[in-house]
Amino acid sequence: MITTLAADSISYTIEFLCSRFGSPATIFDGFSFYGGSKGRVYIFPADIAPAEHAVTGGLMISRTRKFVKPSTDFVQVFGHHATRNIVSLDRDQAQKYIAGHDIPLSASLPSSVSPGFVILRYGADNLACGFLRPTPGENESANGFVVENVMGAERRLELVHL
Amino acid sequence: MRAYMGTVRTRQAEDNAIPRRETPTIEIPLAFRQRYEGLAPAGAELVAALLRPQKKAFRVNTIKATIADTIDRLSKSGIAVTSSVLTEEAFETDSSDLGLSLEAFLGNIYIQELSSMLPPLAVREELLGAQSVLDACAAPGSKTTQLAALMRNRGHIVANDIDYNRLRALKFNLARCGVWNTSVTNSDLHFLREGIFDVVLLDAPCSAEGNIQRNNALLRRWHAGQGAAHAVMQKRLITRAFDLLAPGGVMIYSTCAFAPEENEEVVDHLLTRRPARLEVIPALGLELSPGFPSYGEAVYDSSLGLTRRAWPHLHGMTGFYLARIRK
Repeated sequence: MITTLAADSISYTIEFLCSRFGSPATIFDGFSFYGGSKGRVYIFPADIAPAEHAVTGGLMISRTRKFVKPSTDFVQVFGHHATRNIVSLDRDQAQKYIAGHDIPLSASLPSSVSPGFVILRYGADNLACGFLRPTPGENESANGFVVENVMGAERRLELVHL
Repeated sequence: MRAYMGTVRTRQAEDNAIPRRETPTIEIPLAFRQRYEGLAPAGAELVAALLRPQKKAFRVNTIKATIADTIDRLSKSGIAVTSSVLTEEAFETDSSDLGLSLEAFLGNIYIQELSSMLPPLAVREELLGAQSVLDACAAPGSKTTQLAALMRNRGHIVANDIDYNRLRALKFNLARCGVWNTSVTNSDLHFLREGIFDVVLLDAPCSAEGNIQRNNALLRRWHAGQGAAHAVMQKRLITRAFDLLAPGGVMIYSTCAFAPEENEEVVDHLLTRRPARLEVIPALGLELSPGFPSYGEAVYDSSLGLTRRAWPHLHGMTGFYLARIRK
């Protein structure tokens, strides 16, 4: 069941997503926010109200438990507005991530990228959200990182055409 | 297949509503031949068409992508496609792994039978201005996502399905296609509010005979009485769905069954019980066959000829029936 979301939860979600990815808050203009089970946050166009007894609806943009986790749909729909915490993948990396694997990164990361949730891009396509963390045993200055796969199992796919 | 964790590829395909095609070695039951060879126009060719493999059809999801860009990208990734006469968003391909393309992952395309695209196209004009649309039996979401695209993600769609287990696929497909104007409900139609929907789509549960071409297993379960058995529920559904329409609203009733009991007879049932009238279905890029004004000893309302049938051997798509009904 989806319900109206408290104002502080809305502002927390917007603030996190926009500050983390450098997106303007205006991307959410014209949307209302609703909450669902397990901390899910949905957006609906502001001119419509969800149906009575709706079990879900709108676009799920994040899940909030201890922290805000952006959804794959948020990344694919709004990712082009992001200006930071974007990790570009090559063909092989993109294929592996979509198949459900973690991606070790050996190259040095740009200064606009820090550990935490990142948008994964392949060319101009915003693929999904990943969680960037330093590789165990190393530190950030050694440039050892891995993008942990946080994409839902139902979205994973062994791509043949990429 | 529902236990998907170890079979991600299968799950994705299932959510795209593409049952696996079995080898076309099955015998067509004699009773099936007798029933439909006499019923379908040029019926002798129907059975042969049911055994022929079919191209895979898909639709560009214009919520997320443009047609030209998507076709260009598919072509660059080695997938050859041909345009369909049905609508500019529809294409066909011989590629067996279209569902394993980046375009499918991104939700830029939606794999969908051409015939399944007919109902939303039959109300295309109305959808542009519609504020409230009901997809009464929505899972797995092929037509709901198409409705949303035709509405340009505006207005409000209530995507209902009474089967809770099918909602997962519906939600998955809505999310993948970037649809945000939809509420998903899990109700008996009797619990939805009457008289509020500008457009209602009732793609009724049916015997699915029209899908034999892509799922031969349907033939093994086939028997001559299944149409009448489904019709009991279909008559209840069509009457209730009509009551949910706002005055002046338009409803599409459709099935993928050949049986007149599930099609003309169901629509005729509505016409005799509610102030409903049939309308001409707008041009769809190809000339479909008219519905039957009678079947056996049953004589239906003369306007049933305005309803339309797609036949595999005549129209190059799986079998389908649709009626456009005005309140």
